[in-house]
Amino acid sequence: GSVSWDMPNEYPATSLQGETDQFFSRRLAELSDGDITITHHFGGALGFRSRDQLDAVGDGAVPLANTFIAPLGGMDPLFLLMSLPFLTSDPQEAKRLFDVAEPHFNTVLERYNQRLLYSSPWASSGLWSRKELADSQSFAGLKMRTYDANSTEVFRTAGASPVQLSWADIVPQLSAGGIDGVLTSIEAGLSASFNEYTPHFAAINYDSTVNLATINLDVWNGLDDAQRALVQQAADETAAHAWANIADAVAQSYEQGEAKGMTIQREVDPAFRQQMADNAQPVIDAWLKQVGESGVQILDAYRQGTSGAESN
Amino acid sequence: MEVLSGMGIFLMLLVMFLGMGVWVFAGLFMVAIGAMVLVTDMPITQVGTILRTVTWRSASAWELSAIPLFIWMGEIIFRTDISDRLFRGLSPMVQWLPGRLLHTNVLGCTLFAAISGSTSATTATVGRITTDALAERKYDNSLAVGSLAGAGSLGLLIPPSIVMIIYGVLAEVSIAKLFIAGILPGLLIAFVYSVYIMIRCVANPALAPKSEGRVNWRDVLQGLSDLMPIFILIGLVLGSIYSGIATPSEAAAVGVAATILLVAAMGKLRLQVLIDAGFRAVSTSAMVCTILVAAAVLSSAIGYAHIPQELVKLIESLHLSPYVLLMMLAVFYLVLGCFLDGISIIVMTLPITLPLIVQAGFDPIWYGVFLVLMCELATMTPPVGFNLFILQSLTGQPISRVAMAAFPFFLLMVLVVILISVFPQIVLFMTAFV
Amino acid sequence: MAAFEGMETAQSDFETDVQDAEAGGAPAARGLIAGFQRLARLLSAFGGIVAMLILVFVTSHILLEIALRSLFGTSTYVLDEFVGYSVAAMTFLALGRAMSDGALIRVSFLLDMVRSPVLNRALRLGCILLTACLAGFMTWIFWKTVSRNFMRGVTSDTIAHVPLWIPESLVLAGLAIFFVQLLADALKLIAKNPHSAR
Ligand code: NA
Ligand code: NA
Repeated sequence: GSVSWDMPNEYPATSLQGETDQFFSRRLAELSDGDITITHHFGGALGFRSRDQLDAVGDGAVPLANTFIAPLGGMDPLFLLMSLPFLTSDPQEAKRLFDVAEPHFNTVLERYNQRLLYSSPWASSGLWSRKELADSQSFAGLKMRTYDANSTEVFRTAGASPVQLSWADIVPQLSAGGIDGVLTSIEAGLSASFNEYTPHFAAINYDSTVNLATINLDVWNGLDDAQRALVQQAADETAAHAWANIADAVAQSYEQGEAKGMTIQREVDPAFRQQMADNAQPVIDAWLKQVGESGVQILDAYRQGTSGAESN
Repeated sequence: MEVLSGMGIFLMLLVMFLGMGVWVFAGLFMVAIGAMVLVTDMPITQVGTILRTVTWRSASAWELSAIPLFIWMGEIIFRTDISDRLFRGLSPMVQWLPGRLLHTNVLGCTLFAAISGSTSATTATVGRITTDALAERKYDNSLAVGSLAGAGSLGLLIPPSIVMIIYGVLAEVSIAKLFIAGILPGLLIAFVYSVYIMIRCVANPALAPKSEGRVNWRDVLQGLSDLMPIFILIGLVLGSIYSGIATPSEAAAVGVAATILLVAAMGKLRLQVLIDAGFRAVSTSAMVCTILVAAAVLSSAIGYAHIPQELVKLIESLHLSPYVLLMMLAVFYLVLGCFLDGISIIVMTLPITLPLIVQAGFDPIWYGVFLVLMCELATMTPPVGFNLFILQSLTGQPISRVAMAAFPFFLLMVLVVILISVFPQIVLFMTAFV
Repeated sequence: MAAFEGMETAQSDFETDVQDAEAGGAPAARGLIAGFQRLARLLSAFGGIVAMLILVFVTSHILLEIALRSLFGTSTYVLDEFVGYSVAAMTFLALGRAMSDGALIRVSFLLDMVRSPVLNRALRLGCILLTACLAGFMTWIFWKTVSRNFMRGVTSDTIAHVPLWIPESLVLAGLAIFFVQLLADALKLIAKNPHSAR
């Protein structure tokens, strides 16, 4: 019979993730001839945040959801992989890291009664600041907003004064001069008009996080074979679209920012980034200890691929 | 048409549970549960999962902390002579003004809106300080209550404003411009309310007590010194926000600390007062916050029933001209506003209405202010109107009476909505300077 | 001091409960009902006191955060998290007290209109029992979450790694207290009315 699903997403319809979800539902409707339809609930309109959605999908409160995985780190440390600092430096590397880890993600997701439909990347996070950040010296005492335990730790080691603020407090704090920098992606910052206060963006590529769209296993098993094939095809196309799209989306955001008078540092000094990466090593070591053997496997496989690519 | 029958069931359940006299927050929970089962055909286990997730998420939102803290501040002020001094101080200054102290609600809420981003906190705090005092002085009850319901909602329009930040991010427009854009309409509403109070009081002098006679400059000076504590208080909190020391979410704690320090400096600090005020604040905020949580669950149920999407589709399919479209959307938001709180309305409908409205040639900043006004109107409309609930709790009057008192002020705000629609410059004029 | 004040309220309420209960019913049932009333009052008073202490904690934590940020350029890093838990806990822990304080509002239109004592009492009882069903249901679903999060060892994703069952169980406690308070109110209403007691 025909299927109608409600799909929550914490982010706005116009965000990268909102766009990805709409691509998926469009393809699904086309492929199934309108047999499978999705009603989107963007901006957390059903009352769920990303951190709620792993259980919401697993328990069947919603059949499927698009979820930012970093907040799930308290349920399983593997979900912190993609937000580890300075592990990846561009979307290709992020994609490779995710591919290496995908089987491990599948195992964890199955434990929560769901399976992966597609992954969808965010633009790498960089540093928004009032003044141009020339080198590591300019971090000294910089009052900046970080977003999780790891980023707080890394920037504190770098000499900055990181504070955690809720998203709604950032703009008032920027306008009042309470903070001078924000760690977030170019896209997220533009959507909240940070450029009016912090017109400099340095693409330090701190991390490259992803969202995962997952579907409840009972719902999945309740589909017939033809439907499952259609959903899988639409999901695969969506993942391909999202990952292929990210570089363009970032370039477009850069142009938008520059059109609004921003200065965008697309490449940062490699020595500077290396120094930041060294600062971040204790955070990665701590994560490895927490996640255990599978973490070592993932990072080894990822690093082999990286060195292989560099020696070519 | 399915959407209409869905809405019918929601309305029926609301009338049934709230009407029979179940406590409001519990009634809203019951409506949500009933609608999930009846309209969306959910098994009860799924209802339970949704209920616990949305309850926990909305109850543990840290922005909510402004409510208990501001209420505590209001309770302390109420129990000390800061509030007596406020009215004593204002009296000589408003002698010449028709309606005299009846303007304190409008003035107080407009000022308080500049330190508070939420309507509930504004109405509850200002109302706690003014309601009894106005009643004691024999000012007309329905004007006092109505002006509080109307002006209390200014917390959203005058910056800082949580709703504007949410709109700004969802619509990708400048939050700074939104903040600026809200100021003039906010002051306009305050002005219209004051003019209305004056007209009513000139037409019927019995609405305010007899004037205490002529005042001399000495009375005015004495009044100014009586007003000092409240000026210092507002100055400290505003200063902490605009100097960047505190965030708007933290302003309430600054308010509590400043109030306690001030009372101590005046030599009136008693532990028992703080404790009594605290217990009352905790009880009142349990009432407000459980209703907020229940409203979040209810809006989740309405989301699962696809009602906003279907309604907008209905409007979209009519291919209306810009101003008719705007009018239909206004009606649509007024109807949704009867059942939902402001933030839910924006989050649920914006992805669908914003493209429509931009296509029709309206400015997104202007539309943001329009939507905030719709949210403010929603706080004044029964059956689910937050300012009405808070006023019911403050005054002990039945909600029907509170709603009747609020109705003229509701209409006046609708008038301002019409004004800004005809003259969008009222909203956009100041944004040119950002 | 705060504790003392709360207990005193519970004590005086207890005496009125006993007087109310004496209006009807057998002595044994009367004692049981009065005991249950007393338990409910104590629990509600206790919830209110804890909520009040949390209010003080929230204020202090925010002020500490402001001081740390503006004077020392650092942070507790857990402000929104801890204040969030606190608000949730405060809201539900105070619910029982708010109920007996009469702070919870209702639409009293029908209750004021129905004059017949029997019908009026039935209506009030219906409201209490419906709300008790809701509170019972929510207590049960929160119990399931708390126990599951305890078993799984789920923590928050912040620097503090707070086991989620701890703040959640404060909400659970609040709901349970509210449930007991509702049952006590229902019993009181039934005991008052000889017609519905038998
Ligand atoms: Na405000
Ligand atoms: Na309303």
